[in-house]
Amino acid sequence: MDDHDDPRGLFRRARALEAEGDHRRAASVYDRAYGLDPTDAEVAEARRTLLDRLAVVEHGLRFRYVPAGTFLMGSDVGDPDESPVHPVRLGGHWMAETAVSWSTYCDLMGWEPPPIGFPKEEQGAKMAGFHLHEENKIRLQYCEDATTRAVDWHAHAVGQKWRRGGEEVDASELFGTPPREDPRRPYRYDTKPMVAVSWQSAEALCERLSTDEVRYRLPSEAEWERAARGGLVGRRHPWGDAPPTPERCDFDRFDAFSILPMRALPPNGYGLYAMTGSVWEWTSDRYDAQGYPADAPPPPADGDRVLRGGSWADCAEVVTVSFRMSRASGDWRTGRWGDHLAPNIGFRLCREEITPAG
Amino acid sequence: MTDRELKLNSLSRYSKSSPLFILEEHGHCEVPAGCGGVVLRWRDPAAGVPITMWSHTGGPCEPLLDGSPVTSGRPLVPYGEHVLAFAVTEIDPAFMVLMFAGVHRSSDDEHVTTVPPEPGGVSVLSAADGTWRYTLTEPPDDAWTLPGFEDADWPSMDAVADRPPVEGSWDPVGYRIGKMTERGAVGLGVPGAPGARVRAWIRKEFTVPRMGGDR
Repeated sequence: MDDHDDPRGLFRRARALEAEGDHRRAASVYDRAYGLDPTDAEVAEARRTLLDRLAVVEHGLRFRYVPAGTFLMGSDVGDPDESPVHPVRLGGHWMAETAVSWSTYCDLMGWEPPPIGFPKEEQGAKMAGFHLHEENKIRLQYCEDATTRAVDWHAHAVGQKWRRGGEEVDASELFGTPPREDPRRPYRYDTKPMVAVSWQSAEALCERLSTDEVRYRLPSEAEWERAARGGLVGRRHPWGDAPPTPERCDFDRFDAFSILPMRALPPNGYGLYAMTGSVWEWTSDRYDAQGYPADAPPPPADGDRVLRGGSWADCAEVVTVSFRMSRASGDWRTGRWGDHLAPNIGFRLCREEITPAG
Repeated sequence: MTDRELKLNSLSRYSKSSPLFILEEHGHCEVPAGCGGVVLRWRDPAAGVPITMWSHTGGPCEPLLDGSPVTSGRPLVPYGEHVLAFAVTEIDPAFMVLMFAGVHRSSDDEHVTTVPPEPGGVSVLSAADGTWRYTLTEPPDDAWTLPGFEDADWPSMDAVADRPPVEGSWDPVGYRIGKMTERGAVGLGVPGAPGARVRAWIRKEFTVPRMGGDR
């Protein structure tokens, strides 16, 4: 066994690098040691402590460091588009600890906060107001914090006026009242992921935040998958190979029509919450059903974009680190009714340093 | 056919479709996604069939499927033998006691787009065909709500007309009954004096066959 395959040898090297102040290289070596033996408590603790130290808080968001390294991407037991399993080398990058919430999005875009959620000045295309209104209607319902079960969406359309026989009537008379644990706290805009997000709306936030030193962007598929794996090698889920359960993942709750808070369940090995389940997350890549052939031509410019991770509505077999979905990426900015108008599509920011500090 | 439908029905290299799983797009009021929105749901066809269920009972009742409350309007029902059970109270025998429609047929559900489309379908419709059985005597335990219960000595339900429609305003019961009638369901009743208030225990056995073979 050489040093590359010996977790304890890698651990000693990582400690030496850390002592020299080379924290990012140390993190990569700790990560390799952890991938070889995730049960080594000393390695896991040293790695976790260093990754905590390398986390960055910017714009009110915590970004977790994903060390540079090579990982095995894809799966040979899922859909054909997940294969072949192949090595991918990535540089170090940061992933937001959670998906972006509606309140965070509005705050960072300079918009009115939820439940208004509109630009303070006219920033959109001609139909922006109508489309954004429809998006926000979905977001509002899925920010309901104490709703134990959704009903007909009309019952959740707060502020909507209903008339019967010429007289205004309360929505609850017509559509009932959704059951709630606590009616005093029906909404939580900062703990639920923003939904009904178009690819271009996600890109708009990235563009607004990026500077010459730090670029915020959607992760590539490879960056997303490496982050989702949390340092584990060849496993199906962020926590390992054990099947999803309600204690591990927000999935298979199609009938509930609600989303758990983003930090309700344990994070993965990189400290990232809800990498699978909760909401589908946009990536920057376009979809190709042929999987990962080395010599494939690039997909067409109007092809779908890839979403990853599965959602609260999906079955257990889909909430894996390798399952791929695609969706068209138009939105109201292009005057087109979006395919994104779904309460299980959101996004997470990836952070990249253009000029590394030091 | 809209552009979206065309796209969903094509197996494009640059748009996801799965040979293992089914993608449903739910776009209607009971699936809350706002106006024009859709809830996306990937499901495993090996797990069973999502049967969309409508029901109307002539008195308070909590429908049971294999002994458990039906908490969804579209429960995923595994392949094999099942029992629907209804313990209905405060029944007026002059009118319909039960109407039920449970349907899964991806090709004609206007509110759910299924990719890829599933062949065949499942229908469980209330009918005076001798398979919807009742008793007016309370069963001693819950065995009657489960498959395997011997109900040969339970009488069959007969077709009974609905109560008169409510005039002058929107009638949600009439709307629901109309929807079930469109699907072929028939209102069923039990014998008794009009105006009486009786209780009935109703059961229906059905089978969900494996659709389209193994995927």
